[in-house]
Amino acid sequence: MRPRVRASSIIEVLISMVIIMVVFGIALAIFDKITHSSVNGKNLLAQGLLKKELAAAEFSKTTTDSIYVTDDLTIARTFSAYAVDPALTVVRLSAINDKQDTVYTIKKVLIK
Amino acid sequence: MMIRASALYMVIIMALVIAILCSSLIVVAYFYKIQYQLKSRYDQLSYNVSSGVNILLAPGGADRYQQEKSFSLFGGEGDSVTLLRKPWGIYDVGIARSFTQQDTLRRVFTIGHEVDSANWAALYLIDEDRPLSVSGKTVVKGTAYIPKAGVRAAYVDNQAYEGDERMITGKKIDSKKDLPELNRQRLDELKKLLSHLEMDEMQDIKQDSIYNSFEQPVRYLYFGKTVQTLSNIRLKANIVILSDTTIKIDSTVHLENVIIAARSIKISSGFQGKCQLFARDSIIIGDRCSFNYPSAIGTLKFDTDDQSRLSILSIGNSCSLTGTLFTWQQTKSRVMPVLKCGDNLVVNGQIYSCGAFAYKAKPVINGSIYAARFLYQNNFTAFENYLINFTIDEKKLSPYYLTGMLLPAAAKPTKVLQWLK
Repeated sequence: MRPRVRASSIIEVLISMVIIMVVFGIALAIFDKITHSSVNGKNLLAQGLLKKELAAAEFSKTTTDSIYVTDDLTIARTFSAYAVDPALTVVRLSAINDKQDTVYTIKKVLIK
Repeated sequence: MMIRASALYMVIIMALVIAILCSSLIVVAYFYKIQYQLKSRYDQLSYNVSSGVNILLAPGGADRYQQEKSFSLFGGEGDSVTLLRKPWGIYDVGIARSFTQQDTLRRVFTIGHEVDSANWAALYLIDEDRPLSVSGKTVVKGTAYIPKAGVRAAYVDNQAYEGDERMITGKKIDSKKDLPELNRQRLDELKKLLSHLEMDEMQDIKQDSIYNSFEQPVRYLYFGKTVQTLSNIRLKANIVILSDTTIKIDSTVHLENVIIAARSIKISSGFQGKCQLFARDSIIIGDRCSFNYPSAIGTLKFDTDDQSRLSILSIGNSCSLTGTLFTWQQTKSRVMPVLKCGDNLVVNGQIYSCGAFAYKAKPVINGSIYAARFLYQNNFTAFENYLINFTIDEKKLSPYYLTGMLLPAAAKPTKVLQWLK
């Protein structure tokens, strides 16, 4: 004779389903918030590109503005005079995404 | 068959597991964000401090930041810097600090000048209406300013000239009656150092090691009119040793970026270090001494000094120096300063001798030498303006070599010579 096993009632199953759905909902909301608020790959990519661009600007010693698109980012390089000393110039590097938001900016004073 | 379920218990356990996973995810994300913000702040400070370094290196930096100044780089938040540039012997020291909230990033460095190729000379001998003679295995490579009488081969000490038949491998330009002037502003700084104000006299140094950061005020060790011998001590950075008489430095002393200004300085044989030595009367250096880059050794005689006293810089045998060696006097007189070197001197850098440059065997100058007169002396005779087994090669000087502000070949652009912190 097979032993009789006690099963869950319909109420129990329903409550369980509700709880699990609520918990999953909260978990998904947290996960979504974290992925959105935390540093994303584009930011890091922008930083890397701007660092490379800054090194190139320092090395080349040219002070011409430039703009180009790479990896879905627009990299803009602009030079302006530095008021304190005419022998100095300020380079401003910006990475702009496809929504026209500035993702990252670097400003540095260089010797002309 | 009916399976045992206990669905509620299982769900609670699953919910617990999910909650733990979610909270750990939150903690990891929070930690990552904090680290990212830290890195971003560090990067920002790094760009700002580099901007500060560039501002100090710019031509106007020397005059504008003699007193410490704090300001915002671009008029925004979180881009404040503090800059200071102060003379340190023949070089300058720059201090740049950038700060935001509690974070500060600092750079301390020695500033040197690029070499001005237009004023550079591998050899500069003033024109006293007599030629320059070369003999033995003499090599002169680079631009040479020589008297109008030219250069000729000579037979001295049973040696004929055995070098390149051009004798000077490089451009030949007529020299003037005087050497190019040293930087007046820097000479004034050195005069201030040598004629320092009265201060508390020290009898002895009780520590065996002193380090004074360049961010602190200069630490003066003044020995007054007592002849002092320093031994078994390590002195590093931003320390100036002053004496109104002779100061003796034993080979057991380790000096790093230290200045000594005295009436007379004696360095024992075997000394090794990186320092700047300035004296009014004499500097006597023993054998086998080694002065590392950037070092500077020089005697200075101002009009206010006793003009009858001979100013001498004497270097022993087998010594080497990377940096600058010079003798200078304000007004030309019959008593010329003497820069005297022993056998096998090796200099990677520059020599400026406003008097005689007296040498013995095989000096090697990888860089440049300016002299009013060359004096070669053997056991019997002295030869004036003879280069015998003498090597001058500007090509062997490191392309990264930077000169101090004092010498005539200093170009306006400045660079970081060494990082001190």
